Amino acid sequence: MMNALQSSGMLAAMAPQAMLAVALGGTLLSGILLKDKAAALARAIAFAGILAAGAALLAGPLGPSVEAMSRVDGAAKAWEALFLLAALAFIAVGRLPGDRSIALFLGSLIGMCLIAVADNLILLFIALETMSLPTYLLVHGLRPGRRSLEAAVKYFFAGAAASALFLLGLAVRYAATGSFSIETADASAGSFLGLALMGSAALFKVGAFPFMFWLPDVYEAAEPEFSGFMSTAVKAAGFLLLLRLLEGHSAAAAALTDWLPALAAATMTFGNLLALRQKSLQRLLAYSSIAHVGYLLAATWAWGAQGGSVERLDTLWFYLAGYLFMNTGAFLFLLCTGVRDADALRGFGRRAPWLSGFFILMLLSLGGIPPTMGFLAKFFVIWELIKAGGIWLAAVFALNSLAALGYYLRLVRLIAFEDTVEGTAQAPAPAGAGALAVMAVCAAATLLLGLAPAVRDILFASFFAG
Amino acid sequence: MLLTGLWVAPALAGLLVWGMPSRGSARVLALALSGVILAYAAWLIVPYSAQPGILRLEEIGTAGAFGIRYHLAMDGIALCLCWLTALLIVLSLAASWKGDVPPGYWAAFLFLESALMAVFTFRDLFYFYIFWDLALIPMFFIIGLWGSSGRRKAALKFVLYTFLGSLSLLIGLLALVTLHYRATGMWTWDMAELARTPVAGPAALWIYAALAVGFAVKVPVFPLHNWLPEAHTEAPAAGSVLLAGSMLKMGVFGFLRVLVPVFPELSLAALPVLGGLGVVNVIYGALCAMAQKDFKRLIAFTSVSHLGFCLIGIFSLTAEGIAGGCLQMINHGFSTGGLFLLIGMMYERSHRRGVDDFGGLAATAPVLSVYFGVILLSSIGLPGLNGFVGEVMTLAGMARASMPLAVLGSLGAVLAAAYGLPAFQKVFWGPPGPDSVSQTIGDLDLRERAVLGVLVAGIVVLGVYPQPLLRLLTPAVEALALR
Repeated sequence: MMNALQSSGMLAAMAPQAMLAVALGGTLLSGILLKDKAAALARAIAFAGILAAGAALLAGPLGPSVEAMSRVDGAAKAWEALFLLAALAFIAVGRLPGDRSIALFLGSLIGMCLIAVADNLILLFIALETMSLPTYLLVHGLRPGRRSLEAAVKYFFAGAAASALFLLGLAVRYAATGSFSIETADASAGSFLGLALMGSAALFKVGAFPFMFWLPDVYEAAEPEFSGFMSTAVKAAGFLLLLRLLEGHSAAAAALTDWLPALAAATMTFGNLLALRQKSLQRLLAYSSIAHVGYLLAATWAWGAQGGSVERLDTLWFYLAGYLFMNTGAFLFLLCTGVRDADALRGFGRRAPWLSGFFILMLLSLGGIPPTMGFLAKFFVIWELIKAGGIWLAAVFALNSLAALGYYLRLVRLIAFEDTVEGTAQAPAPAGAGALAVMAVCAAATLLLGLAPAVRDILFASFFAG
Repeated sequence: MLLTGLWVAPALAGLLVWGMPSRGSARVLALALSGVILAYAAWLIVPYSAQPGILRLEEIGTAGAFGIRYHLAMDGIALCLCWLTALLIVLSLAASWKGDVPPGYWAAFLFLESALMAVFTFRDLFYFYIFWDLALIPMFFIIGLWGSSGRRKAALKFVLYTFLGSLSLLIGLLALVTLHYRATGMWTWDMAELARTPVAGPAALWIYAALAVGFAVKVPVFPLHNWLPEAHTEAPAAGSVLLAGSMLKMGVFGFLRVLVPVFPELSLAALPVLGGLGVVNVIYGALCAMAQKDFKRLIAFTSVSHLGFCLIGIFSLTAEGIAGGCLQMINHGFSTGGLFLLIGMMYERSHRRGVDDFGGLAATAPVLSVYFGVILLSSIGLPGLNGFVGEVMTLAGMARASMPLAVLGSLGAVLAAAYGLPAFQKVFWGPPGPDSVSQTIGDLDLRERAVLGVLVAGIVVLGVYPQPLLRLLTPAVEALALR
């Protein structure tokens, strides 16, 4: 009787993850049964699994579950919603070659959803590994070739270093406090060191300065839609990891938070300065994603400096949500058009006005021009910085936004104002219906959610309503 | 709903025009709809006059998250600027009639009109800022797609430079709103609410500086004027008209609408700095204009000079000075708008715009010469035409606040004659040079005469009988006057 109760409580806390695990099993089974023809069915199973996980997530209860070492709070739900949305978009684009890559992808997704709810450092580590390992394989597996192999190996070693840091931090923390609980952190040196090491692992995952060296190579070598997924969902998971470590604002977390402004300023400046000079579009978007990590780190500092409560994560969440739509859209443009080089964009506006208009909208949103979601996201972050008293960081943020607008508008200029140079003209590759549908959603969200500043609070509060 | 219509109608018109299947139909529809919008803006005087008070035709929504609230209202200053914008849109679209441009061109102007109307009528600073930024985008495409040879670089420079101002403005506004919240415990973006609780202390000075930089880039105030010559020169004629005629006014309007009411003491103290920079603008702009060989660039620098008078008038903080500054905004829209249209018409015929490319035009194009003469004389402030009234009022206001600045500012009137008359003499009466294209220039056709005729009529009427306009401005101006 007792056991049954416990397992049902555990199942309730982990229902979305369980749904995804069932879908993962289903995709593998379909592969065994149907052999080569399994991809379409596996995709359908994955799609259904993600939708079911979403439904379970929204209906699921809030609160801790001791048996599952987990705690479902509003932030967990909000972030899981982002992961599932990103995954849905990725599956909808529909270019995963077979059941095994779909299964790997679902595995990674389960890891992300575990990070959201983990209430214990051991589970957090397992979740981190579950999320990371499949991504190394997918970088190479989706686009086999020498470059992607090199990138995957690089990504693997960077990820292994992050895991090692996390594990070391976990051990130090356990030695200092005797507990694996996330919350138990005192002011001791060991507690701070442990937190700093685990925090570094999170910074590795999101690609913050000085742990960002692997990122441009990986994002450039992977398939565009997977780079889009990594830059949005995996990054959001990395940030959630960092936020979980800093949450509650213990003495050690406060000490670590003090370092964030410098890291944020360095990260955004590095990303923007290097993005200014890029010719390859995927590389440019990679550096720009480093810059966005800098903005998010600034927001993380403002959040921590104002108490660091879960309910106040709305600004960060909204930024990540906005980034999810606009960056996925930008990478899908690259996928649909086959354009890899900035110069190939010359005169693109004449050849494909609708696709160009879409890309320009995404670029303006990334650059933070109203009335897009990107503007509103940046607006909230600057506001939080000012509320937290970080006026110099707000100024650095503003100057960085200006530099970033420089390279986004340079692309707009190539698309809209320049004429096609002979020989570089490239007819846009036919885009799949799935990709087009995702792009339409991205465009609609970027525009409509940018028009109503109140939407952020309504959406975010709804996750806390239970 | 009257004011909502004023900014929504142009946006809808823009969408409609953009969707037109052919260039011809888009052109006709755009001109017709902009005419309807002008008529609507003009008609607003009827309900406006029927109401008492300074702010009329108010529309207030309920405050949503963070105190952001849909709040529109019209005062005399805003009404004049809305009229000016609607008129300039019609005239510049009519002037672009012969250009073979796609529907997007006409739509961009209507989108721009929408953003400008919103900036002039929103009383909530959040929406004010949104549309302030949004106005950049149509102009970016107008310059970049339909400008002359250096258009691509100019478009980028224009947006990035003015976006720097926007960011300064944004940080200033956020800091202001946050400080207000700390003082009162209430989130609000409403201009009137913010003006009610004065912000003091060292933070106020920084906020004032951030906001002033934001507005100054747009005016533009020396030394933040560098984006202007290139943008005005490379934009298509109609774009230059709107850029100079309406968009620069956003900056002056910002000073009037935000800076002076929210920070009265600091604005009084800022007289030597901002009033002084106004004088620098007047003189520096005139000197730069004298040195120009490119006609469009010359006119662009006269804008710098003319907007200096606006600044002088406003920061005198006297009733006549502010009224003169507002009048000067309207006058500058007429005269500089007219000059850009004329240069555009000459360029359309000859594909040249150098001062030395023309000579003896008075013989080959007499009607053009007459129009040019009248508008130029208005621009340099001849008594009897509108420019004179505005300049004298701003200087008279400044004389009450600071005599030295007023004296220095009046130098600008002399310098204006020094840059305007020689160029006019060369082009219209001078001998045609070896490269001159004047022989091939035909005179104005009926459409062009009509477009310029409207402006010339306005210039003459405002010059001899500005009282109705001044009466319209008075309530709002007197509320702002502090000296």
